Amino acid sequence: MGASVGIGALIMGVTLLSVFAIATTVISNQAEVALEVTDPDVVDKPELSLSNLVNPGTVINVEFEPGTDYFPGALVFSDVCDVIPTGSFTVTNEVFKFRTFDEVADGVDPIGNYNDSEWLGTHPTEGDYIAFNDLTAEAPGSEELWIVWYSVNPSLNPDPGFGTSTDIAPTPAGSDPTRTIEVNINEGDDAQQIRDNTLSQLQLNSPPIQITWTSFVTDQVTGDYQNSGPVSSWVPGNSPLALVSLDAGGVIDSVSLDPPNNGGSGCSSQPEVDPCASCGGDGTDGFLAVMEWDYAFDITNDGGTPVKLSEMFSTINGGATEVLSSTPAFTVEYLFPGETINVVKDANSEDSLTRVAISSHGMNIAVET
Amino acid sequence: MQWRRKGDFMADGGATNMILLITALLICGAASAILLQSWTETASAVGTNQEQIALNSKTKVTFSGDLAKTTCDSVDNRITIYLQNSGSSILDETEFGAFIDGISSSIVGVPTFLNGATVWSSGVVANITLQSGENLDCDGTEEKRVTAIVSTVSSNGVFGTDSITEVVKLG
Repeated sequence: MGASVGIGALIMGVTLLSVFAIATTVISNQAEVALEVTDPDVVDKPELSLSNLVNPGTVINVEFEPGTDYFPGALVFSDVCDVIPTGSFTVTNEVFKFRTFDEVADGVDPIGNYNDSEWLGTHPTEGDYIAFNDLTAEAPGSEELWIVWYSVNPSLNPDPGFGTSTDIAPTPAGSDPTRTIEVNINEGDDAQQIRDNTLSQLQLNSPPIQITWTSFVTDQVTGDYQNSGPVSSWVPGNSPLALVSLDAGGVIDSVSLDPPNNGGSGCSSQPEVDPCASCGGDGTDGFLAVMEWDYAFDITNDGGTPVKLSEMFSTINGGATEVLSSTPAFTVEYLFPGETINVVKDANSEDSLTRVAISSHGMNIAVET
Repeated sequence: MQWRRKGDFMADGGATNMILLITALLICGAASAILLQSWTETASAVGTNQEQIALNSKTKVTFSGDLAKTTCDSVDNRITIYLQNSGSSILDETEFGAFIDGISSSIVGVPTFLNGATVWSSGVVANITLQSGENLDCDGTEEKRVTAIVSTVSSNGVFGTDSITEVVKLG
């Protein structure tokens, strides 16, 4: 009997001890949870401040309107940058084609010529001339007038006796006698021969004309200016020689940012861009600097706990929110209390900085410029 | 008269006592079993509840981005919000709820994470686009009250939750 009572008591004792253990565990867990709830394992809202917003710009490109009558040269940027950009622009080369003498039907030969004995009086080519400007330097006023004149050569042996050759270069106003080119044409020359004579004389001149001459069709010569820029118009002189086509020079065709400064840096605003003073032009260039902007600002940890930099996020001008970054990259992982870090956002944005927002774990601050 | 011996009386009393004792032991054992079971169940329930409370205490979501210039699409009536996991548990981006001015809002597409993260762990910001049931002007003056509700991934069958409400300016 005593043993039975003992066993019963043992059972009850063990049971009560188990219940007590369970209850203790539950109470312990509750206490632990209570502590966790009292001091939750979450990231506290940091205290950060933003200051010293700056927005330096750089010119990345220059847009333009073609304009006319420009000489290539440098771009002039207004002084709004710490390092003023440097650049230049180029213009088109002028290309023209002119036609030499048309063959004249004289009623005798199947193909007429220019000094046919059947012609009476002054031969049609005698003393005829054309003029053109040679662009010898890439600047306004550097054009030189050249005269190409045609002479019926009186020294032909035997002298055909075609009327009276002038053998005198015409002297239109402004011409320089040293810049005349004589082209001799003879009886029976056809259009191609005259063209070739003209071409060879043009290529033999001294000082050299800065035009590349090539033959075109039977009676045409092409002149391609080696220098770019505007060239004054073809001067027909007193000849029937005619300008066939003209691709104008002096039209802006490219702009570049060049050394030493290229796009410059530290621009506080969009610089004005003009052609150089000696670059001529009709004023319709419409140069426009295309900017990219970088951002810089300071962030200070005003709180009492370190803030992980990778858990800060920036929003520029209301755009997409991004993980805070800087150029060059951060070398530290945390921003400790009292510390200030300079953030350089090499954003290369088309827009200037108007608003910066920083957020981290429920802290949202923004500063507008 | 038949006399009974003393031992005979003792044998009768012993059997009765044995029956009583065995019965008592059985009742005691059953009571113990019931007590233990009920306490175990109670402890389990309390434990689950405690885990829930503990997980909730580790779950926190905060708004990130520029609250005064919240990205807004007036064509599709959508707004883009950024939510940061400020707790210590991993959030489940598929278990997400939102309200715009108290009206339930659906999520457009799948939330994406900034900084190349693949899970919504502590500190990570999720980019979430919400579909508004109302027309949005997105003119820079429109203010909306946005509520976000998040849930953690399962931990022993328990989910932690948190919610946050902020007024944001669209545009």
